[in-house]
Amino acid sequence: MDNSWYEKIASFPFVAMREGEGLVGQGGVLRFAQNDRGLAQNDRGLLRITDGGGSLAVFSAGAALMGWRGRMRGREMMLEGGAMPVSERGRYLIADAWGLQADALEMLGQGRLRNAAEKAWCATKRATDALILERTGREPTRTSQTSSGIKALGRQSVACESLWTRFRTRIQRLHSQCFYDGRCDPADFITSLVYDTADYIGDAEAAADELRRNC
Amino acid sequence: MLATERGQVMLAEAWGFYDEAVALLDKGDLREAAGRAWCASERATSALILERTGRELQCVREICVQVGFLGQESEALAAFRTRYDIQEGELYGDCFIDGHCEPEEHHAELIRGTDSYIREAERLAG
Repeated sequence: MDNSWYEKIASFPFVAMREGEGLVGQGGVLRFAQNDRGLAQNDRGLLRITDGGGSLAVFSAGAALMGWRGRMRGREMMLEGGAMPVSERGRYLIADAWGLQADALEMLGQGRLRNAAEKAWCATKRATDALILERTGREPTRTSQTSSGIKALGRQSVACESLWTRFRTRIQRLHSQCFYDGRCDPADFITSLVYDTADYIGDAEAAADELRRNC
Repeated sequence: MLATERGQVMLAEAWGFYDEAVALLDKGDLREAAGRAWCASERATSALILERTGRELQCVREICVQVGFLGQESEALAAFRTRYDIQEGELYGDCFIDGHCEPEEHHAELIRGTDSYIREAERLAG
Protein backbone atom coordinates (compact mmCIF):
# COMPACT_ATOMS: atom_id res chain seq x y z
CA MET A 1 0.00 0.00 0.00
CA ASP A 2 1.30 3.45 -0.88
CA ASN A 3 0.99 5.37 2.36
CA SER A 4 1.70 8.70 0.75
CA TRP A 5 -1.50 8.31 -1.21
CA TYR A 6 -3.72 6.56 1.32
CA GLU A 7 -4.81 7.73 4.71
CA LYS A 8 -6.08 5.45 7.45
CA ILE A 9 -9.50 6.56 8.62
CA ALA A 10 -11.17 3.73 10.47
CA SER A 11 -11.18 0.12 11.49
CA PHE A 12 -13.95 -2.41 11.15
CA PRO A 13 -14.51 -6.01 12.06
CA PHE A 14 -14.42 -7.87 8.78
CA VAL A 15 -15.32 -10.97 6.91
CA ALA A 16 -12.85 -12.36 4.41
CA MET A 17 -14.03 -13.70 1.04
CA ARG A 18 -12.24 -15.29 -1.89
CA GLU A 19 -13.68 -14.92 -5.37
CA GLY A 20 -15.65 -18.03 -6.31
CA GLU A 21 -15.46 -19.47 -2.79
CA GLY A 22 -17.50 -17.08 -0.72
CA LEU A 23 -16.82 -16.66 2.96
CA VAL A 24 -13.48 -18.12 4.05
CA GLY A 25 -12.99 -16.45 7.43
CA GLN A 26 -14.05 -13.67 9.72
CA GLY A 27 -13.09 -11.75 12.81
CA GLY A 28 -10.38 -9.37 13.90
CA VAL A 29 -10.19 -5.77 12.89
CA LEU A 30 -9.35 -4.62 9.41
CA ARG A 31 -7.49 -1.35 9.18
CA PHE A 32 -8.23 0.22 5.87
CA ALA A 33 -7.51 3.34 3.98
CA GLN A 34 -9.37 6.05 2.17
CA ASN A 35 -8.15 8.31 -0.57
CA ASP A 36 -9.49 11.78 0.20
CA ARG A 37 -8.54 13.16 -3.20
CA GLY A 38 -10.43 10.33 -4.85
CA LEU A 39 -13.47 11.08 -2.75
CA ALA A 40 -13.32 14.72 -3.69
CA GLN A 41 -12.92 13.95 -7.39
CA ASN A 42 -15.72 11.41 -7.47
CA ASP A 43 -18.17 13.18 -5.20
CA ARG A 44 -19.81 9.97 -3.95
CA GLY A 45 -16.41 8.55 -3.25
CA LEU A 46 -14.49 5.37 -3.74
CA LEU A 47 -12.78 3.31 -1.14
CA ARG A 48 -10.00 0.86 -1.91
CA ILE A 49 -9.46 -2.02 0.41
CA THR A 50 -6.59 -4.47 0.31
CA ASP A 51 -5.84 -7.33 2.61
CA GLY A 52 -2.39 -6.10 3.59
CA GLY A 53 -0.42 -8.37 1.30
CA GLY A 54 -2.21 -11.70 1.69
CA SER A 55 -4.14 -13.45 -1.02
CA LEU A 56 -7.63 -12.86 0.31
CA ALA A 57 -10.00 -10.27 -0.90
CA VAL A 58 -11.45 -8.56 2.12
CA PHE A 59 -14.90 -7.22 2.58
CA SER A 60 -15.58 -4.85 5.43
CA ALA A 61 -18.73 -5.56 7.41
CA GLY A 62 -18.75 -1.95 8.56
CA ALA A 63 -18.63 -0.71 5.00
CA ALA A 64 -21.51 -2.99 4.05
CA LEU A 65 -23.55 -1.41 6.80
CA MET A 66 -22.67 1.97 5.40
CA GLY A 67 -24.28 0.95 2.12
CA TRP A 68 -21.14 0.47 0.04
CA ARG A 69 -20.98 -2.13 -2.72
CA GLY A 70 -17.80 -4.05 -3.44
CA ARG A 71 -16.28 -4.81 -6.86
CA MET A 72 -13.05 -6.75 -7.31
CA ARG A 73 -10.12 -5.36 -9.29
CA GLY A 74 -7.20 -7.74 -9.03
CA ARG A 75 -6.36 -8.01 -5.35
CA GLU A 76 -8.15 -4.79 -4.51
CA MET A 77 -11.78 -4.27 -3.78
CA MET A 78 -13.32 -1.05 -4.95
CA LEU A 79 -16.27 0.06 -2.85
CA GLU A 80 -18.80 2.37 -4.43
CA GLY A 81 -22.04 4.11 -3.77
CA GLY A 82 -22.21 4.28 0.02
CA ALA A 83 -23.49 7.09 2.14
CA MET A 84 -21.13 9.97 2.71
CA PRO A 85 -21.78 13.20 4.56
CA VAL A 86 -21.00 16.18 2.36
CA SER A 87 -18.53 18.09 4.52
CA GLU A 88 -15.01 17.05 5.38
CA ARG A 89 -15.79 17.48 9.07
CA GLY A 90 -18.89 15.32 8.72
CA ARG A 91 -16.85 12.58 7.07
CA TYR A 92 -14.31 12.78 9.87
CA LEU A 93 -17.00 12.46 12.54
CA ILE A 94 -18.60 9.44 10.85
CA ALA A 95 -15.22 7.76 10.42
CA ASP A 96 -14.51 8.43 14.08
CA ALA A 97 -17.86 6.85 14.98
CA TRP A 98 -17.02 3.71 13.03
CA GLY A 99 -13.60 3.54 14.66
CA LEU A 100 -15.14 3.83 18.12
CA GLN A 101 -17.68 1.14 17.25
CA ALA A 102 -14.86 -1.15 16.18
CA ASP A 103 -13.18 -0.48 19.52
CA ALA A 104 -16.47 -1.34 21.26
CA LEU A 105 -16.63 -4.69 19.48
CA GLU A 106 -13.01 -5.40 20.37
CA MET A 107 -13.83 -4.76 24.02
CA LEU A 108 -16.87 -7.00 23.80
CA GLY A 109 -14.57 -9.71 22.51
CA GLN A 110 -12.41 -9.18 25.61
CA GLY A 111 -15.42 -9.45 27.90
CA ARG A 112 -15.22 -5.77 28.91
CA LEU A 113 -18.89 -4.90 28.59
CA ARG A 114 -18.78 -1.67 30.61
CA ASN A 115 -16.02 -0.20 28.46
CA ALA A 116 -17.66 -1.50 25.30
CA ALA A 117 -20.85 0.30 26.31
CA GLU A 118 -19.06 3.60 26.66
CA LYS A 119 -17.27 3.22 23.32
CA ALA A 120 -20.59 2.45 21.64
CA TRP A 121 -22.12 5.49 23.30
CA CYS A 122 -19.24 7.65 22.04
CA ALA A 123 -19.82 6.23 18.56
CA THR A 124 -23.51 7.09 18.85
CA LYS A 125 -22.71 10.65 19.84
CA ARG A 126 -20.16 11.21 17.08
CA ALA A 127 -22.53 9.87 14.41
CA THR A 128 -25.33 12.04 15.78
CA ASP A 129 -23.07 15.09 15.80
CA ALA A 130 -22.24 14.43 12.15
CA LEU A 131 -25.92 14.22 11.29
CA ILE A 132 -26.73 17.45 13.11
CA LEU A 133 -23.76 19.20 11.51
CA GLU A 134 -24.86 18.21 8.03
CA ARG A 135 -28.49 19.17 8.62
CA THR A 136 -27.99 22.43 10.52
CA GLY A 137 -24.48 23.59 9.70
CA ARG A 138 -23.59 23.63 13.40
CA GLU A 139 -21.62 20.93 15.19
CA PRO A 140 -22.80 20.34 18.77
CA THR A 141 -20.12 21.02 21.36
CA ARG A 142 -21.96 19.59 24.37
CA THR A 143 -24.00 16.45 24.85
CA SER A 144 -27.04 18.57 25.72
CA GLN A 145 -26.77 20.21 22.29
CA THR A 146 -26.53 16.81 20.63
CA SER A 147 -29.59 15.69 22.57
CA SER A 148 -31.67 18.75 21.71
CA GLY A 149 -30.48 18.62 18.09
CA ILE A 150 -31.57 15.02 17.50
CA LYS A 151 -34.77 15.73 19.41
CA ALA A 152 -35.61 18.61 17.08
CA LEU A 153 -34.76 16.47 14.06
CA GLY A 154 -36.86 13.62 15.43
CA ARG A 155 -39.93 15.80 15.25
CA GLN A 156 -39.62 16.10 11.48
CA SER A 157 -40.56 12.53 10.48
CA VAL A 158 -41.16 9.01 11.76
CA ALA A 159 -37.79 7.87 10.40
CA CYS A 160 -35.99 10.66 12.23
CA GLU A 161 -38.00 9.94 15.36
CA SER A 162 -36.55 6.42 15.31
CA LEU A 163 -33.06 7.89 15.46
CA TRP A 164 -34.06 10.06 18.39
CA THR A 165 -35.56 7.18 20.40
CA ARG A 166 -32.52 5.01 19.73
CA PHE A 167 -30.23 7.90 20.76
CA ARG A 168 -32.23 8.24 23.98
CA THR A 169 -31.97 4.52 24.70
CA ARG A 170 -28.21 4.60 24.21
CA ILE A 171 -27.53 7.60 26.41
CA GLN A 172 -29.64 6.04 29.13
CA ARG A 173 -28.57 2.41 28.96
CA LEU A 174 -25.01 2.50 27.60
CA HIS A 175 -23.73 5.77 29.06
CA SER A 176 -25.65 6.43 32.24
CA GLN A 177 -26.72 3.02 33.52
CA CYS A 178 -23.88 0.79 32.34
CA PHE A 179 -20.80 3.00 32.17
CA TYR A 180 -21.48 5.54 34.91
CA ASP A 181 -23.43 3.41 37.36
CA GLY A 182 -21.72 0.14 36.49
CA ARG A 183 -25.10 -1.56 36.13
CA CYS A 184 -24.75 -3.42 32.84
CA ASP A 185 -27.83 -5.59 33.33
CA PRO A 186 -29.33 -7.41 31.59
CA ALA A 187 -26.01 -8.13 29.93
CA ASP A 188 -27.51 -9.57 26.75
CA PHE A 189 -29.61 -6.41 26.30
CA ILE A 190 -26.61 -4.11 26.78
CA THR A 191 -24.57 -6.32 24.46
CA SER A 192 -27.23 -6.16 21.76
CA LEU A 193 -27.29 -2.37 22.08
CA VAL A 194 -23.54 -2.29 21.51
CA TYR A 195 -23.83 -4.46 18.39
CA ASP A 196 -26.85 -2.54 17.06
CA THR A 197 -24.99 0.74 17.33
CA ALA A 198 -23.57 -0.13 13.92
CA ASP A 199 -27.10 0.15 12.51
CA TYR A 200 -27.54 3.49 14.26
CA ILE A 201 -24.33 4.87 12.75
CA GLY A 202 -25.33 3.65 9.30
CA ASP A 203 -28.78 5.22 9.58
CA ALA A 204 -27.39 8.49 10.94
CA GLU A 205 -24.90 8.59 8.10
CA ALA A 206 -27.58 7.97 5.50
CA ALA A 207 -29.72 10.69 7.07
CA ALA A 208 -26.76 13.06 6.86
CA ASP A 209 -26.22 12.35 3.17
CA GLU A 210 -28.24 14.73 1.03
CA LEU A 211 -28.50 12.16 -1.77
CA ARG A 212 -29.59 9.24 0.42
CA ARG A 213 -31.57 11.11 3.02
CA ASN A 214 -33.88 8.70 4.82
CA CYS A 215 -35.52 11.12 7.18
CA MET B 1 -57.34 -2.57 38.57
CA LEU B 2 -54.05 -3.63 40.09
CA ALA B 3 -53.90 -6.75 42.22
CA THR B 4 -52.23 -5.29 45.30
CA GLU B 5 -53.49 -2.50 47.50
CA ARG B 6 -50.02 -0.93 47.52
CA GLY B 7 -49.96 -0.99 43.73
CA GLN B 8 -53.29 0.82 43.61
CA VAL B 9 -51.98 3.50 46.00
CA MET B 10 -48.92 4.03 43.82
CA LEU B 11 -51.03 4.33 40.72
CA ALA B 12 -53.30 6.86 42.43
CA GLU B 13 -50.18 8.85 43.33
CA ALA B 14 -49.14 8.73 39.70
CA TRP B 15 -52.46 10.22 38.59
CA GLY B 16 -52.17 12.90 41.27
CA PHE B 17 -48.74 13.92 40.00
CA TYR B 18 -50.06 13.89 36.45
CA ASP B 19 -52.89 16.30 37.34
CA GLU B 20 -50.35 18.61 38.99
CA ALA B 21 -48.14 18.43 35.90
CA VAL B 22 -50.96 19.44 33.56
CA ALA B 23 -51.99 22.28 35.89
CA LEU B 24 -48.40 23.59 35.95
CA LEU B 25 -48.18 23.27 32.20
CA ASP B 26 -51.35 25.29 31.78
CA LYS B 27 -49.76 28.00 33.96
CA GLY B 28 -46.72 28.03 31.66
CA ASP B 29 -44.28 26.44 34.14
CA LEU B 30 -42.85 23.87 31.77
CA ARG B 31 -39.86 22.85 33.87
CA GLU B 32 -41.87 22.16 37.04
CA ALA B 33 -44.50 20.41 34.97
CA ALA B 34 -41.79 18.13 33.54
CA GLY B 35 -40.65 17.30 37.07
CA ARG B 36 -44.18 16.34 38.11
CA ALA B 37 -44.74 14.30 34.96
CA TRP B 38 -41.55 12.41 35.72
CA CYS B 39 -42.78 11.73 39.27
CA ALA B 40 -46.00 10.39 37.76
CA SER B 41 -44.00 8.15 35.41
CA GLU B 42 -41.80 6.88 38.22
CA ARG B 43 -44.80 6.03 40.44
CA ALA B 44 -46.57 4.21 37.63
CA THR B 45 -43.39 2.32 36.75
CA SER B 46 -42.86 1.35 40.38
CA ALA B 47 -46.43 0.03 40.53
CA LEU B 48 -45.81 -2.04 37.40
CA ILE B 49 -42.62 -3.50 38.90
CA LEU B 50 -44.37 -4.27 42.19
CA GLU B 51 -47.18 -6.11 40.43
CA ARG B 52 -44.88 -8.12 38.20
CA THR B 53 -42.05 -8.90 40.61
CA GLY B 54 -43.49 -8.46 44.10
CA ARG B 55 -40.77 -5.96 44.96
CA GLU B 56 -41.15 -2.26 45.68
CA LEU B 57 -37.97 -0.50 44.62
CA GLN B 58 -36.86 2.69 46.35
CA CYS B 59 -34.07 3.89 44.09
CA VAL B 60 -34.53 5.26 40.57
CA ARG B 61 -31.38 3.51 39.37
CA GLU B 62 -32.84 0.19 40.54
CA ILE B 63 -36.12 0.98 38.81
CA CYS B 64 -34.26 1.76 35.60
CA VAL B 65 -32.37 -1.54 35.70
CA GLN B 66 -35.53 -3.51 36.52
CA VAL B 67 -37.32 -1.93 33.56
CA GLY B 68 -34.41 -3.18 31.48
CA PHE B 69 -35.03 -6.71 32.68
CA LEU B 70 -38.78 -6.46 32.13
CA GLY B 71 -38.09 -5.33 28.58
CA GLN B 72 -36.66 -8.78 27.88
CA GLU B 73 -40.01 -10.45 28.54
CA SER B 74 -42.16 -9.23 25.65
CA GLU B 75 -42.32 -6.76 22.80
CA ALA B 76 -44.85 -4.69 24.70
CA LEU B 77 -42.51 -4.44 27.68
CA ALA B 78 -39.58 -3.64 25.39
CA ALA B 79 -41.61 -0.76 23.95
CA PHE B 80 -42.44 0.33 27.47
CA ARG B 81 -38.72 0.29 28.32
CA THR B 82 -38.09 2.69 25.42
CA ARG B 83 -40.84 4.97 26.71
CA TYR B 84 -39.38 4.84 30.21
CA ASP B 85 -35.99 5.94 28.89
CA ILE B 86 -37.64 8.86 27.13
CA GLN B 87 -39.64 9.91 30.18
CA GLU B 88 -36.59 9.80 32.46
CA GLY B 89 -34.14 11.29 30.02
CA GLU B 90 -36.28 14.03 28.55
CA LEU B 91 -38.59 15.07 31.38
CA TYR B 92 -36.28 14.52 34.33
CA GLY B 93 -32.72 14.72 32.99
CA ASP B 94 -32.89 17.27 30.22
CA CYS B 95 -35.81 19.49 31.22
CA PHE B 96 -36.19 19.37 35.01
CA ILE B 97 -32.57 18.86 36.09
CA ASP B 98 -30.63 20.58 33.31
CA GLY B 99 -33.27 23.13 32.33
CA HIS B 100 -33.03 22.19 28.65
CA CYS B 101 -36.73 22.13 27.78
CA GLU B 102 -36.46 22.89 24.07
CA PRO B 103 -38.27 22.36 21.79
CA GLU B 104 -40.98 23.44 24.25
CA GLU B 105 -43.80 21.82 22.27
CA HIS B 106 -41.91 18.52 22.39
CA HIS B 107 -41.76 18.54 26.18
CA ALA B 108 -45.33 19.76 26.48
CA GLU B 109 -46.44 16.78 24.39
CA LEU B 110 -44.45 14.41 26.56
CA ILE B 111 -46.00 15.89 29.71
CA ARG B 112 -49.56 15.64 28.42
CA GLY B 113 -48.84 12.20 26.94
CA THR B 114 -47.77 10.88 30.33
CA ASP B 115 -51.41 9.84 30.87
CA SER B 116 -51.00 7.16 28.20
CA TYR B 117 -47.73 6.08 29.85
CA ILE B 118 -49.54 5.57 33.16
CA ARG B 119 -52.34 3.65 31.45
CA GLU B 120 -49.82 1.45 29.66
CA ALA B 121 -48.05 0.72 32.95
CA GLU B 122 -51.38 -0.27 34.48
CA ARG B 123 -52.26 -2.47 31.50
CA LEU B 124 -48.90 -4.26 31.60
CA ALA B 125 -49.16 -4.72 35.36
CA GLY B 126 -52.45 -6.56 35.06
